[in-house]
Amino acid sequence: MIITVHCTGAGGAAEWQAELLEWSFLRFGQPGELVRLVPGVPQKDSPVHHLTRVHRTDSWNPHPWTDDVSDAYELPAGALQWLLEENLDATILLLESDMAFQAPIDEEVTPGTAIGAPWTDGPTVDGPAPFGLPEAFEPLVAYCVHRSLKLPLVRFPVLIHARDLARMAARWLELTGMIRSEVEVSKRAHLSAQRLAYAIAAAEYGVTHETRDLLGRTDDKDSSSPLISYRIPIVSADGKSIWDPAVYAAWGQIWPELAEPGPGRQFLAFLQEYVTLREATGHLASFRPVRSPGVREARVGDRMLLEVPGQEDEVTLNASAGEIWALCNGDRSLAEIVDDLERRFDVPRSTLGSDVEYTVKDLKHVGALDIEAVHE
Amino acid sequence: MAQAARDVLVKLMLEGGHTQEFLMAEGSAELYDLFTCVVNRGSAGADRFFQIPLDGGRRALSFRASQVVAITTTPPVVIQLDEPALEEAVAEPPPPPEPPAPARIEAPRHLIIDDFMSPGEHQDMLAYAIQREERFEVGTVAGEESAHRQNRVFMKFEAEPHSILIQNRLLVWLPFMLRRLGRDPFPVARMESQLTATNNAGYYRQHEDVGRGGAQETSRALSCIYYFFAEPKPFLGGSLKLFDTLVHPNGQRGPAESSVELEPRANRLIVFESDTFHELMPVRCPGGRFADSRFAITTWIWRSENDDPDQRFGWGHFRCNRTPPGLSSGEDEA
Repeated sequence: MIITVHCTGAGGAAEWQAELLEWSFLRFGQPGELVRLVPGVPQKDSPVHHLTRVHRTDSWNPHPWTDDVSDAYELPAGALQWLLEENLDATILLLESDMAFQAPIDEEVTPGTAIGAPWTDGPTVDGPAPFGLPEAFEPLVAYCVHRSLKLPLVRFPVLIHARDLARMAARWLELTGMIRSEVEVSKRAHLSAQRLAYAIAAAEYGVTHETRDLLGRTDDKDSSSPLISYRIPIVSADGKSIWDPAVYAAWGQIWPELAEPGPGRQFLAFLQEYVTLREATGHLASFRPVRSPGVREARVGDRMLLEVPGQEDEVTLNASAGEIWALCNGDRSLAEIVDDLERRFDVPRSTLGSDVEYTVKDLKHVGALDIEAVHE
Repeated sequence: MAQAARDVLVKLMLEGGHTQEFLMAEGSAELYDLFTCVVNRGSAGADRFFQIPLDGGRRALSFRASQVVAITTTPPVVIQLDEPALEEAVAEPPPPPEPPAPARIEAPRHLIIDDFMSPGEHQDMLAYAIQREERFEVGTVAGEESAHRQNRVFMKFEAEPHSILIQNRLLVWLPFMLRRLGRDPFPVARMESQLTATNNAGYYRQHEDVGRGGAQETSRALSCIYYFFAEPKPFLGGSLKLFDTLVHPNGQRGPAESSVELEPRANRLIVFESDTFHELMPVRCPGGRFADSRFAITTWIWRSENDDPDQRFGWGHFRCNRTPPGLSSGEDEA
């Protein structure tokens, strides 16, 4: 089981990024579950996704002990809180918010081993400070016991076992704060404090990392990586910026053909595909529920009972959920299911839409069905 | 001028020949109630439930009023009972009294975190303690007899970098621990850590950790015990027993008989609320080698009753000229 995890606050660009990641997750058939950790005030409305499971966590921005204002704390803090609440035995695929799938990743890891993308522009490790880091990192002497460990210079995406992540997450969080508070280095080094803290924590907890070509960039000449980072603007052949993620307003028009051939253009084409689909059919048309093999059903009065392989208890559906289940035949998209219900029941379409989304998500959660992308 | 009530030795005789002695303040309402039981014995509707704390609250005697046969007191005590009430009770049974609310039992809230430190930190902590055997002295408890506790305490551990190492980690964990314990965040006043070594026949009898600051503005809120020792475990026993708490209707708290027993494991942290009665069960370590001791660092996190941003405790503290010196490391010193 692979659980893909990313961590973003609610609102703003995070919403279209999370929706795009979800679409890429489906579009390219990434196995497993998609989880979005959302730090913030629990009372605020949580983002709603078709497929992504949203897990609210307490915010660590600003840092409770140093008052440091930074998003760098949210992922380690969120991961720790989530893994304390869910005792998982699975491979975790950690992503950053500006990444999207281009191909599925199905490789799982065992405890003690992990896989990450190489941190090619990471710090030097032949300096005088702990772990061979440059001199500016000398303050780590006060906080690290074994200072000769070899650091895994990896960056996200990372595949790591949930038990390893649970063991080291507190240390990762602690070191992120220590580096940002104690190490007087460049702003760039501060920004990568979370990445360096991850490497130190992994080394201390004995989690060895292999590096693998997991991540391409939109400015690469070519890329066959399963994930792509779209952090930097995409430019045309004459160097003019034609798409900038920092200012992109969802779901505005895109012109992929203006980009230089290569991963940047491919990414824009993928984005354009989703924008077009979304405009033409509404976002519900992009998803199609498919029943899991071996699910048995029985109607008792106005209720529907499902026996799901691997589930100890039967799943009981009320009348309306039973109607939705009956329409999940693998052919209809979510939008077509809503169309059908709208013809038969005097209920506003918006209400039907959210009912269908929630019911299908619940049914997926219990293993009664899966959700596929509609892209042909 | 008011005179302090003296204690009298009460011997309670119950049905079936059971007796129990305990001290009670002369003139207390509880003593009056016990005499009333004797007077009302046999009358309808006069039964009620008693719980008398024994041994400073560590045990409790529970019985019904109808079971009380007689009372002797030393010295003799004269009690003026309410005669009209007695006459009414004999002549016309009063309506059944409200049954007394029984004491509530609260299970101890606790949390276990395994792999609390990295494997290297755990080994370093162990080497650090073993190399400093001469710093350990016999532990004592203020106001308690010496037999209350048998283990050794590392003197002046507070100033050691290893104390700060563990406190830093606990600060990171604190918000998560409070959430898991179902407690609201609170302003931290300070932290104090104590390193102990418990060897053969060592123990620490039932106690609670609550303490109060001088101005009553701070109190111990959480007790966090970090265990570290050689592996395979070179001793037997030494588990931590957390007792359920009896909460009486008047708010008085005491330990119940029931408890949960938690095994010490190397590199494990156990967290519980400081007002939980707990006990270190006896350790058996036949060889008696110091290096085979059950080592533990207990850190108490103190709550401040007032949230004063200028007095906040945390890493900001350490940045103000309190950065600890380099930690010892076998690897780096070699």
